[in-house]
Order: sequence, then structure tokens, then C-alpha cells
Amino acid sequence: MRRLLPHLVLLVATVVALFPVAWVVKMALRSSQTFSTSLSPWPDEVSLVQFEALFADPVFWRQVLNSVVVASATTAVGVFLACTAAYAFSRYRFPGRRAGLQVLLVTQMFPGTLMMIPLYRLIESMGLLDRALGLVLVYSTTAIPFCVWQLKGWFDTLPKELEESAIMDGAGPLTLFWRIILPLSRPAIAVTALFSFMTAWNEYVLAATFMGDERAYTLPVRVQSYVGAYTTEWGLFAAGAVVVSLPVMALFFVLQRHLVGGLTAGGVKG
Amino acid sequence: MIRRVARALALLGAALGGLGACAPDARPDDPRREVVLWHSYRGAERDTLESLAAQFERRHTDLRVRFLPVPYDALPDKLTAAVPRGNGPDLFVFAHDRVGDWADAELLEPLGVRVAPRDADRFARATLDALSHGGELWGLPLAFKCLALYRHTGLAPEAPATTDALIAAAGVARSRDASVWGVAWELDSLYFHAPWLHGFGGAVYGGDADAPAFDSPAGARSVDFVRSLVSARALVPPEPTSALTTSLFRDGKLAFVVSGPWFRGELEGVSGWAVSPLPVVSETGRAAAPFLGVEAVLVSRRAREKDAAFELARFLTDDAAATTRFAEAGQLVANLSVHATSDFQADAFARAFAQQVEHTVPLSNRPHMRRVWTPVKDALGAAIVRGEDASTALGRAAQAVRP
Amino acid sequence: MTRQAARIGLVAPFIAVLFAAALGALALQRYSAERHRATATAFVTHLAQWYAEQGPAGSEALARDSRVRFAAIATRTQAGAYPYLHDLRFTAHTVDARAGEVLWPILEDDRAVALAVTRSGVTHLPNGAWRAAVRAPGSDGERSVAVIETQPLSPISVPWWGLAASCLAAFALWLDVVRRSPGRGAAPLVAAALSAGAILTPLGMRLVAVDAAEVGTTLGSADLRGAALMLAAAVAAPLTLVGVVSARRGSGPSPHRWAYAYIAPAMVGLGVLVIVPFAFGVVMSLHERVGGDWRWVGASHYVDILAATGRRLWEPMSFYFTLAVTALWTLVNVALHASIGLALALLLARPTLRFKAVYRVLLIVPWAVPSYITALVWKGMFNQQYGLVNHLLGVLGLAPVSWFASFWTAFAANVTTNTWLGFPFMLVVSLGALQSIPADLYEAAEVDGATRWQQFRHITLPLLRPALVPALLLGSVWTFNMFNVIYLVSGGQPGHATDILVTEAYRLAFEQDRYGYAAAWSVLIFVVLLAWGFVTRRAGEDDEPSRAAGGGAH
Repeated sequence: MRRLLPHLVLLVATVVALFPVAWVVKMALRSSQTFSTSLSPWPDEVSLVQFEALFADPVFWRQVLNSVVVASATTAVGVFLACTAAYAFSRYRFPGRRAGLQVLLVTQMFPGTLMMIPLYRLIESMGLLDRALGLVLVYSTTAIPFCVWQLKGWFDTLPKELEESAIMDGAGPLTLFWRIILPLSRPAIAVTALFSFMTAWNEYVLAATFMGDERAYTLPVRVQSYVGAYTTEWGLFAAGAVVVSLPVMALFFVLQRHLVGGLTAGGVKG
Repeated sequence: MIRRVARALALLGAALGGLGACAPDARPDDPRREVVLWHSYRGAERDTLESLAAQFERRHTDLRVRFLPVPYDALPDKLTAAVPRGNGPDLFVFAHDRVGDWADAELLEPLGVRVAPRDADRFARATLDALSHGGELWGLPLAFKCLALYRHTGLAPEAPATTDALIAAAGVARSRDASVWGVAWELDSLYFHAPWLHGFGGAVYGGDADAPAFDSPAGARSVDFVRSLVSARALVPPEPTSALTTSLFRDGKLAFVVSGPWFRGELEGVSGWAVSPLPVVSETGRAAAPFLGVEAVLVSRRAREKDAAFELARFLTDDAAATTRFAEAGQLVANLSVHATSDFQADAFARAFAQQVEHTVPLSNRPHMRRVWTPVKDALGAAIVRGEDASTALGRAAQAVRP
Repeated sequence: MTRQAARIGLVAPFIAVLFAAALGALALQRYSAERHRATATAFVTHLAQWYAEQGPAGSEALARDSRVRFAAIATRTQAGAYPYLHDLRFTAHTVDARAGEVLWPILEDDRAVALAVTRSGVTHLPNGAWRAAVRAPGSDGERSVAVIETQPLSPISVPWWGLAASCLAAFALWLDVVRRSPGRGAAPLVAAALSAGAILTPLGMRLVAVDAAEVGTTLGSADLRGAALMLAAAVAAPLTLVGVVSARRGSGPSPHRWAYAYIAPAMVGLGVLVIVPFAFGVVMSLHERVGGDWRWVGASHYVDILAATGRRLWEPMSFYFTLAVTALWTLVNVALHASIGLALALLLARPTLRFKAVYRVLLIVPWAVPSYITALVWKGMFNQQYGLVNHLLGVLGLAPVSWFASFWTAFAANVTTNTWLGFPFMLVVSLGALQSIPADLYEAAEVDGATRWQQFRHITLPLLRPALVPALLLGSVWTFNMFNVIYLVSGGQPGHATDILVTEAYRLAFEQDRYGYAAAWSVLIFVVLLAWGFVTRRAGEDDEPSRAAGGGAH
């Protein structure tokens, strides 16, 4: 009994965790556009009509490409900005450091809906409307605060002695950063990257607003466009949702080992 | 090492530059002028729109129509952000209920001088009135939407002419089988309550256009009427959301549904249903009058190709295009000549809605309308679902609406 | 150490300065464009108004004015039976006796401006000209409008030399940094010059070639953006100055310089794309949008919100009620996230557990699916008639619940959805923290005869704290602003009671079009969170590593 109880609890938790997702998959596999009202999460039919309809549209593939480009560029920019800032917050004591860390937290507090029209004008005045770069800049700055906190926590745990002994061995500061700090931080960087990626991959309000061409849209905009004024094309919506979710899930599974270590090691010190 | 950092930075810069340059495909070799149209159409409506545009391009060889589908929820925000900055479309398709607001915000091009009276005659008058604001016309009607009465012909073979007949028929269906409900609509939504409000002689806004008038005795009577259907007669299923209503009706567990033309899409593969105009309210002898919603094509004040945009708008709403839109996309077009065609008359669904249009109240296109929805929703919820006194609840809502 | 560490950041400050220069250029361009627009608009409107008052008598004077291309008064009458359709004719004009023939082609490209008789309208034509239409007095049943089109007005010349000088100065600063000349370098002076330049250049700009004194300008909506950006520049420049000067104070090169260099790219990014829009939002909160214009209303939105004008202090949609709901929402969610996440993590951390990896993978799935999708599914599951939740209640012999009809059930539905969405994050955080607790601590406790509970209380919890506290702080802010769940699941039902502050702000802005009011509301949300930040600041600092490096301050 003592051995079974944990499994029982975990099984229940797993079923609860998976149920809504199974429901989406079920709707994606139906051939009709209506909302399923039966209780079972098991597919009552297996039809690929929705996916075929999605994949047959060349614009869809262009939007996949946009999403991939925007999300990966956001990841690159976000990780670069977060790494440098987190390193400073971790390794230096300077006036304004605490304030800086608080500012990072504070920017998470700005209500997003308020920012939309000002952001639009800003992006426009930079001439970045309709361009992936505009989205990349907005997304990567949105993701920075969390990434910096995460990486800072990780850098804090790296023993200073490592750097000191490397310097004794004649390593220059750049060698230090590239060869010692960054390789040791791989798990934390993986988590940071995953987070930046998700921010960009899942966002649709700004993408729908900033992009003036269907071929410049990202995938979530397409998925959302199936939710209409009066009716929703549930089948296509669910199929799109599955397609949007798959890459993120895949990343989660690939990175899950890092995830467990990288997300928290930051806070844990002897 | 420094070189390595520099290289990384250069790479990053180059990548960003590339992204910046990664604009959507331009077509520099196409000498035609471009007319940009934003819409939220899906499926057949979208296909029809595109084929009509192709016809338009054949007629005007110097013009090219470029479409941008925008998610319905995102379209108003996108217009608000883009048009004042000159990045908007030349024309766009949207419901008429924001027209007054957008006209005041100078997002729309006035069309009063461009549209000749004989061109205006082709539309059902109410659909054109819905698009006017401040003595000016702001768009051309493509299609209209309003509520009507759907019935399950197995449970209720006859279309009820009065509310008493409706109650009787619903009661019969319910008494035969307790799992069958009588009638349903979204009880706490003003949009769905409006037919009864108007049918009892009430109005959302009174003579002084800015003063809420729904808290009148007529308004309270309409609420009491609906509450009697829910509590005393138990004809309405609990929490009749649109999803629930759809599934009950599909399963043959609901005799009547008050809904709009969009409901047909939910009934794919179901037979044995029919549509008729809403009944006359027995107490007053007035027809239950739902709100009229008009889907319109609107020209942007900041359009780059304003004349071409207007040409396209006129082309999309003329009788020939309307015939196509009705035939191919099933749109309930506003053109009277199409209503008179035998195809239209043969379509019982379209005919019922065309009849209903005679008894509608155009939804106000002014911003004050949007302040009403939520307070009235709360009041209807309190009065119909939770049994609060109708005039108290409506009075509170009116208080909240008053500026 | 200092000098070596310093070299790493050589490039960063230059990038930062370039960013700042770009921002300055942007501000300048926006400002000059707005000035041009404001002045030209006022000028052309003024002329049109004058013409409308003068009537045909004004034609001669306007015909002689070299700045005016043409002027005309058009009259509109109702066409047919439609009060909103019109016919048009000219009653006065400057160009030619046969006005219609000459004027219509001119107006053809933009006729409607002349027809916007209900209000004045100003258009900027592609060739640089400006055109205004102003209502003129007319006889009964007619409406007249005076139209003026100017010759193209010369646009403002942006003082590129000033920008070039700023860039040169930036380059000099960079060189100075590279050479690391201690203390006495020219950098503070250069920075001061740079800041002064950023503030003063716009003032020295040549404005439109229009006699502003004759027209008289007002700081209206057109200046709003320019003012906001000027404000940002005015704040940013002294900050740069203070930063550079303070970094250089004291003897020898300050170690802080490199810290600033490192954080600069991220902070500049945040500044441009987060702080500036926010500052704009603050400016918006002091205005009200009327038609296409922003009208200054001062602090009245704030007064209305805080005094709950138009409603009782304590009812849905009042700021205080919504704030209390939001606080409760945050508290309950964070507590549930943490306890469920931690409990599952404790189970998963048992060394003897089988299928550990499978559970771990499956339990983080809710995190991986976009919330706007799963929130819609959860809403369906709470449906009274067909939802899974009521079905389960039925299996347990309980009556179905109408989830969105009363506050507590609707709140519970929201919390359930958000707990489902949020527990995987806390699970992963706790799991990582648990794994790093050395096993020998437990072994030693076991030897001392400590019970399971005592081990948890005295070993696990204290060692988890440093990892959990920052996660909880961040989680509390995210939950506070969790828009999707509230908006998509309960939608604020019943009657806005379950709305939290952000969803209410969204409704105010995009459903009721009260942008200014919504902006003030949002600023207040921010103030609340800021206060929360200060309260928890200590908690955050307690967990700073005590032995982290001193940044080479040897």
C-alpha cells in the first residue's frame, strides 16, 4: 500500500493534467467543425480532414516559417541580452543593482493591454511594421526579466573559486566567460532559451496587430482566426492548436532534464 | 577571443538585419495599383469574396486587390492602431455597430456624396439607415443578421404566430417528454432579450438619444415575461449558452431556439428544422423586433486608393455581386432585387430572415451602445436567473449606464 | 582581475550609446514631425475659419495669398429621400470663374474632405500641401463648408549635424573607455555635452515656414507623442549623465563601469520597448479621447477611480472590490501552485519510485500547451449541462452546479483552471531544488531518529526556501496579471464580480473605448504591484547569495 499510494496520486494528477489536452486532440481528429459534447476524451473518430485542410494551404507553411524565424530569433536575442545582464547582476556589486533587479520585476507588472497602442506607434516609427524584426524585439524584451532572474540565480551558484583558479592558470576574461561560465550554465541557458521561445511562439495579439499581410502572420494568429464572431470552426481550431503545441512539447521533452536542474539550481546554495 | 565576440556580434547584427529586410513578398514587377481589403471572412464567404475580386480585377485592369484576413477579435484593435497612422487598409469589412464611433474618430470615409440615391434604392432601407451617422453615410451593406425563431419540426410542426402560441407549442413538446426543453436563447444577453424588449414597447435608448430607456415599465414587463418562461413554466433549460443550445437542438431535445443565421452552420447534417420570423407579443400585439446587424464594406479615410476603394465597395454590393454572394456563400444580402429572385424565394431559410428584417431595430452604431451590454447583462442575469425584481435590476443597470 | 574583467565589456557600452543615439534620433524626428503637423494644421484651419466667416468676400484676399493654392466654399443639399446622401455645388472660390470645372478635378482625389461638413477636417496631401474643411454658415436645409488647400509647406529640416556630433561624441566616449584613462578623462564632459545636446537640439530646430504668431498654436493632441518622447529623452539624458559621472567618481577606474556595461544592452532594450510605451501610457492616463483627439483632463480619471465615482465603493467594477478579488485570486493561486507542485515533487523525488521520468514528462504538459487554447477547453468542462465537472459531481451523487452564476463557484472555476496551468512550473522548480539537497542530510537525521515530518520541517523546507521564494514572487506577479484565464473562463461573470484588475482594464479600453480611464486604471495596477514589490523586497534580498563575488573591487 505504501508503494502504491504515490502511484495512485501521481496517476490521478497525470490524468487531470492530460484530460484537456486529450480533448483538443479529439476535436482535431473529428471531421466536423462543431464543439464535441460527449464526455470521453477518446477520439470518437479518427479523421485527418482538418489537418489536410491546414496543410494544403501554402500560406500555412509560410506562417510556420514565420513562427520558426520569429521564435528562434527571439531566443537568440533574448538569451544574449539575458546572459550579459545576469552575469553583471550576479558577479558585481554596484549602485543601482538592487533597484535594477527590482525594475526587472517591476516591468513584469505593466499591464500588457495598455502597452499595445504605444508599442504599435513605436514599432511603426522604427519602420518595423510587417517585419519579423519588430516582433522579435518586442518579444525578446518581454522575456528578458524572467530570463535574467533565472540566469542570475544560476550564476550565483557557480563557485567563484573556479574563476579564480582559471585566472591563475592564465585564462583571459573572455576565455573565462566563454569557456568556463557559459559551458557550466548550459542547463540554465536551455531553460532561458525555452522560455524566450515560448513567449514568441504563443503570442498572437501583437502579431495580429503589427503584421499587415497574411503571409507575415505567425501560427497563433491563424489558430485564433478560426474563433469567429458568431461561430468557431472548432475542428480547424483544434488541429491548429495541436500543430502549435507540438514543437513546444517536443522542446519540453528534449530539455526536461535541464529544466529540472536549470530552473532552480539558481536558488539553491549550501 | 575578442575577435570571436566581435564575430558573434557581427553575426547577430547580420541576422537582425536580415530579419528587418524580411518583409512580405513585394511584387515590384506588377504595375497595377493595389487596393487593400481587410476582412474576417472564412470558408465559402472568403472564397466568394476572392472570386468577386478577381472579376473586379478583370474589369479594372489597372487595379489589383490585396486581401488581409484578420482574426475577428483583433480587427477593431488593429484598425484603431493602424488607420490613424496611415497603415490601414483602403477598405474593410466589419459589422456596422462601430461605424459611428469610427466616423467620429475619423477612420472612415463619408460616402454620402459618392452614393447616388438610385444606387441607394437597391438596399433594404433599414440596412442603409444602420450605416448612417451624423447626417452622413459611412458604408455600403453587404449582408444583414438578425435573430429569428428556429424550430424542431418533429417537436413543433407549426411556426407560432404569437408568443402564446409559442408557449403552448413549447409546453406540448415538454409535456410529451420531460428531457425535452421548450425554448432557449442566451437569457442574460441584451442582444437576445432585445426582441422582447421591443415587442413589449420598450427601447434601449429613449427619445433623448443618450438617456437609457430600458428600465421603463415595458422593459420590466419583458423581463417578467421571460422569467415566467424560465421559472413558472420551466420551458428553458438552465444556463442556455450557445454551445448547450446547439447540442440540445441537434439531439432533438429542444423545440425552439432563438438564434441568428450563423446557427445554420451548427446544424450541419441535421434535418427536421425550420426557421420563421419571431412571433408577435400577445400582450401588446407588436412583433418581437430583434436588433439588426449589418455587415458592411467601409472605406478608410486614409485610403491610398480612395476612388478605387469606393469602386470596389460599390462593385461588391451591386446586385450582380449580391446574387453571387447569396448563391455561393449563402449570405443574407441586403439587396432587394435579390430578395425578389425565385432562388431566394425558394430558400425558406433566407425568406424567413428577409421577412424578419421588416421588424427589426438597427443596432445603434454609436459608442454609447457598448456601455449598455454589460450592465444590462448583469441585470438580466440577476432578474431572470436569480429572481431579483425586474425594475430594480434594470434601474440599477440604467444608473450604471448614465454618464 | 578588474582590468581583465573590464575588457569583456568593451563592446557593450558602445552598443548602448548607439542605442541611446538611435532613441534620440527617433525622438527628434517624431517631435519635429509633430510640430510641423500642429503648426500647419492650426494655420490651414485658421484660414478656413476666416474664409467661412468672410464668405465670398474673402475670396479676393485669399487669391493673392501666395501660400494658398485654392480656396472654395461648397454647399451641400440633401439628395433624394435619404438624409445622409448629398449633392454639392460651389458658392465661392478663388481659382476661376468656372469654379466647378476647375475645382472638381483638383478635389477629385479627395472630395470627401470637402464634404465632411459636420466637423472640420484637415488632411495632409502627399505633395506636402495641407487642406482644411470648416463648416460655414448656410441657409436652411443646406450645409456649407469652406475649403482651403495650401501650397506644399516646406517640411522641417532635422538637424542631422547635431546627430552626427552626438555620434562622434559617443565614439569619443568609447575610445576613452577603451583606453581606460582613469578618472580625469574627457568622458564626463562628453557625456554632459551629449545630454545637453539631446535636450537642446530640438529647441534650436527650424519650424515650419509658417508665421506661427499669426496662427497661434496650442499644445493639442498632435503634440502628445512629441511631448511623451521629449519627456523620455529628458529623463534618459540626465540618467546617462549621472550614471557615467557616478561610475567615474572616486580615484581610479570604478569597477561599476563594467557592471553597467553588461546590463546596458538589456536595460536599453527594456527602456525603449517597455518603459517608453509605459511612459506614453501614463501620459494617456491624463487625457481623454474625444473623437480623434486627445483632450487633457489632468488627474480626473484617477479621482474618479479612487472615489469610485458612479458606483458604490464596494461592488463589482469598483477599484477596491476588484483589487480585493485580485489579491484573493493571487493568494489562493500561488498557495495552490506551491503546495500541489511541492507535494507532487516530493512524491517524484522518492528515490525508489518507478516510472519517474514518465510522470515527470506527462505532468508538465499543461505548461507546454498555449493557455488561450486550454482555457477555452476548461470553460467547456465547467458547462452546467454537459461539462465534465458536473458529470463527476453526478457520479458522486451531488447536484450539478451552475458554475458561473455565483461569485464563489465562478471564482473556483477560474482558480481550478489556473492551478492546472500553473502547478507544473512550481513542480519543476521544487523538483530541481529537492534533487540538490544532499542525501546524507536525511541519513544523518534518520540516525538521530527524526520522523519523516521532522525531516521535512527541518531539512527540506529550509533548504527549499531559497529556490521557492523567488519563484513565488514571480508567480504572484504573473498571477496578478493573468489575463487569459479570467477573460476566457469566467469572463468576469457573474456581473464583473470575478474580473481582476487587468481584465477590467481591458474591458474599459477595448470594450468601452475609455482609453484614458483604462490607462489611469492600469497605472494604478502598476502602483499596487510596485507597493507589493517593496513589501517583498526584503524577502527577495534575504535570498541573495551572501558570498557572491564583489565584482573585482579587490
